[in-house]
Amino acid sequence: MRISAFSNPSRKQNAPSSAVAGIKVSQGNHCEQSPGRRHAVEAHRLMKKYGTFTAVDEIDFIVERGESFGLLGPNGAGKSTTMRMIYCRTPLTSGHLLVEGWDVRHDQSKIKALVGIVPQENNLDPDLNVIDNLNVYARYFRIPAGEAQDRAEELLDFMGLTEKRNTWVEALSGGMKRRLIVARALMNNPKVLVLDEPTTGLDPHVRHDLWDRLRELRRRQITILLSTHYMEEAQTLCDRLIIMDRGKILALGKPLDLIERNVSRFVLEVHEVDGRSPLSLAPKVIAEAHGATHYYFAPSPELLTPLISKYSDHKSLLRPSNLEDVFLKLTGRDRLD
Amino acid sequence: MSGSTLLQIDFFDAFAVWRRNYDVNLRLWKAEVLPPLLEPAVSILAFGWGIGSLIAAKVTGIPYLMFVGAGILVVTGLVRAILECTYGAYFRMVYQSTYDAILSTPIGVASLGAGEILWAASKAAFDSLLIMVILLLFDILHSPMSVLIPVVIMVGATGLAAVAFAYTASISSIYQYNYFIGVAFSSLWICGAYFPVDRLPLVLQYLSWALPITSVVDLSRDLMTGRLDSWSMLEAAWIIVSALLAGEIALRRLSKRMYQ
Repeated sequence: MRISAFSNPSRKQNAPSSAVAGIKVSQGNHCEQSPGRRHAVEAHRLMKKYGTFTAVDEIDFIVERGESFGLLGPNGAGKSTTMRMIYCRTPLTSGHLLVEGWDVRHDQSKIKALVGIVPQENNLDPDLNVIDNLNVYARYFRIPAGEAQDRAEELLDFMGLTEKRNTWVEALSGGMKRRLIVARALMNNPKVLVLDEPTTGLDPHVRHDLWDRLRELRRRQITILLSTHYMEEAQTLCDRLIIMDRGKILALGKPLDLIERNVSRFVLEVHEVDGRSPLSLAPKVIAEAHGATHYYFAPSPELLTPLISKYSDHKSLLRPSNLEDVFLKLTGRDRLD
Repeated sequence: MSGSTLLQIDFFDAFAVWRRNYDVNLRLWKAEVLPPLLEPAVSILAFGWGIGSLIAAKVTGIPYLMFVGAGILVVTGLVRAILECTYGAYFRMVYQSTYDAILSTPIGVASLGAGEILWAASKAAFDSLLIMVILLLFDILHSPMSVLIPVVIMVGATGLAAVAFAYTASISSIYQYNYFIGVAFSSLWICGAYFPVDRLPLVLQYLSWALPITSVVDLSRDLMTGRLDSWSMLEAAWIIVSALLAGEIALRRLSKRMYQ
């Protein structure tokens, strides 16, 4: 189905074309042309304080248009606050933040017309059924009813919810609610899709299903901003990411680059080694002990295989290093807060 | 914050918020429209036939059924507005996160608040229309100016809904409504709905006339009987000004709560 550009006097759209969720949109989005747009998001010395507590501490980053960008960090790292500032729900304490070239301090309605938001908490409207959740939401963007209806049907199809179109929201499973929230976030044909921990609490099947749909959006060049504490999710979905902790950025880069830069490519985990010290080894092997587990990092698996026999009475696992190793190294493995 | 928050209202956006509530109520109309009207309908019978039969004298120059009919008409609308902007709004704001979802769209906080308050006022006006049908059956609506009563109730309900909404935006627990409901419902007993204000001790008379709801009751009764004078104009002005003031406060409170 081909849907023509929406038009209304105050939320006029003349941005470049994009296609999302299998829907071709002939002329862009529900927004005005942004001023000198170069990046999807630009943050410069971005800071947010609540009283004396600093949630986000003068961070800088740029999200390119069309890329999938991840924000990783433990609870309280400042990910959600950063995202809320991006979609204009939390005012900045200081610094600068541009979204598609618009300033979050002055151009809030323009930015919100361009952004699709998948919040951490479910905020679907329980007083409405599935299709009305989409249609009523479309009204907030002044999308004409006929176009909204067509788009809602397309998005329900894309998210596999067509059979549930007349179901009350409360009767949906957790996974279906998440899919409906993503569909709702796409109703305004956003340039930037912001997902705040979209798969937290979902079972693995549902999580992988949602990843497939997000990959499809990624192929369609929509800019995706994703916060998560699932490393696999970040590694699978993100072109680049930042690792945050206590309001600061600890590392920024492509997932594989971050792994190579911060830990060697392979790791041997040895479990239940209470009381023993890590073995001293070849120069290229780095040993770490955390709790009852030893970690040996090395650039090749051959350097690690001799170790397995030395721990023959323990459970061990030789595997490629992943983002979780980087994350735990940077934020501290033994931290429990 | 600089300037009036009222000036930030985009009425097209406020209408989108209003329409959301309208759609939900249309779906739930059996539960939302009829049961809440049972109590006022019975109270007209109780006051008019029951208590009214004990009151032989006219009250402020009109039969008691007419006097109290106007009072119940207004109180029904105002109670509806209070409930909509207290428990109803709190559920949408806190438990359902409906406001969070709406504020993720281009709709601003002033338009959101305005949509909610005007929805409560619309419900009050709608209820008053239905009560007026009952009053018509009792042959109480004497003046053609009665058609303006829902307008007066709507403006008055806007003010009271805004006060309720300001309180809603300020509290952290639903139990804090006990204080507000206690004060608000008490004030409905001294606003001249059930007996003339001049029966009250002097200090309570001053308090009563300071409350815009007393003016809403009095003006509605004057429209019902066709006895308008310059005092009525003053009352109309006070109802409008107080509604605007309360609206400004409500929107500022909501803005403070939603943008942190």
